[in-house]
Amino acid sequence: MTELDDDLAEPARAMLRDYEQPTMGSARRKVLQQRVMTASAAAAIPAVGGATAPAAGKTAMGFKLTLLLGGAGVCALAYVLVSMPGDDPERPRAAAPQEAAPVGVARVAAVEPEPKSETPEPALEPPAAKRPPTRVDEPEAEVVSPPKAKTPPAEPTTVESKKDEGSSSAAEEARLLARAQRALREGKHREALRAVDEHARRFPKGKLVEAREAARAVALCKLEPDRRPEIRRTFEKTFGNSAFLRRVTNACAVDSGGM
Amino acid sequence: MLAAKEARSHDRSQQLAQLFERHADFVWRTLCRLGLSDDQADDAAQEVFLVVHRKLDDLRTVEEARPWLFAICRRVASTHRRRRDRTKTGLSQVPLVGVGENPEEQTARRSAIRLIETFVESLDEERRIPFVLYELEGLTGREIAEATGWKLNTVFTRLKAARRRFESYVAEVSK
Repeated sequence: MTELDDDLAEPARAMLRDYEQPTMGSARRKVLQQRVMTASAAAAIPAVGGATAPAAGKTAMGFKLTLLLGGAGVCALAYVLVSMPGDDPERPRAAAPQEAAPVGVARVAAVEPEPKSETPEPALEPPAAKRPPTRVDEPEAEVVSPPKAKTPPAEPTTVESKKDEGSSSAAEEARLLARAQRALREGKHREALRAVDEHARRFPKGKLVEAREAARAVALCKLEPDRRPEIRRTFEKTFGNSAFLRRVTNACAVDSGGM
Repeated sequence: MLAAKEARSHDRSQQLAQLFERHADFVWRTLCRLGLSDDQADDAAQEVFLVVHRKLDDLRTVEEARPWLFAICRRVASTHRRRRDRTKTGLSQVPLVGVGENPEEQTARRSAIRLIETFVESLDEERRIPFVLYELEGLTGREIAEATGWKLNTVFTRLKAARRRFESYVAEVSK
């Protein structure tokens, strides 16, 4: 016998005939796709960028994949960096792609060490692509014009050079956001802001702007509980239906537990 | 040498994208049916596809991927269930989308889906797996045996038991 006879009673068979497979839905699917592509790309970052992958954690994830991070592939970086579940916090993760747009840089002056958070930081969600990213309004933040020197060349002369440039800058973006996310998870919110600021300075029109600003919003909400509603509103206003919105909302909830 | 590596990486990325395109819903549904909440399934699905990416060399053809994917889903779901307390989970709890053209049709189809998914959740894993894969996902007995490592006869025995329960369930809800 290689297959089973259809001996199911008719009412049961009829119910199965009417059954339609549920799907995850296009929005969820899009987010997941970004996460997957980002995660696979992020895992390759050490190989591409020359950095050494941390030994701890899931070393199996350290397979080498050249970053083919034009378009959708790149985007994902911010997300994995911020939301890969339960894995090695040292492993780079990525955020989702973002179309380039001018983004201000919020500078946070204080640098004192912070206490560790009791609970893990809510991870950021992948960004919804397409919206032009803009700055999240911040308290006591100095807005400066992002330097242009370190942005990638606008028009690489060849496909290869374009790919190389994209790969290395995307890898660096991912590394910075991984640093921010790691700091968030460890409750080092000011350190997270410094990483976010560095990303903003170096990649004002980067692929991971939305993820970056989500990380900034989360950090600010932890640092300034009184301003949570305002920070959340500003993020929502700026990024609309961002896939990161839920994480920002959770982190900025009035009763989210403070630091 | 470097060019060859890059080309290989590119091929793997394309293969991964192709697998995602075809099987993302299957993976996500499977994870939900293996006891994860929809949010947990999102995270777990990401892990599944990372495993897929790592083990692409084990896959014969994209068309034959589902038993292989199921086996990966099963392992990943098991890890996730150990990690987190199990709350109320499963597709019967998930806000379903894309299941109808208009509100009336959506309501009717959602109702049918919920009836069946509620039944699925009531089964133990030994019966749930063959029922879902055979009756809902359309895998063959041989594919299920491959996915689970069970003997073919075991698959059919468990499927028959699940069918009898399903008939009783349908009779009950139809009263």
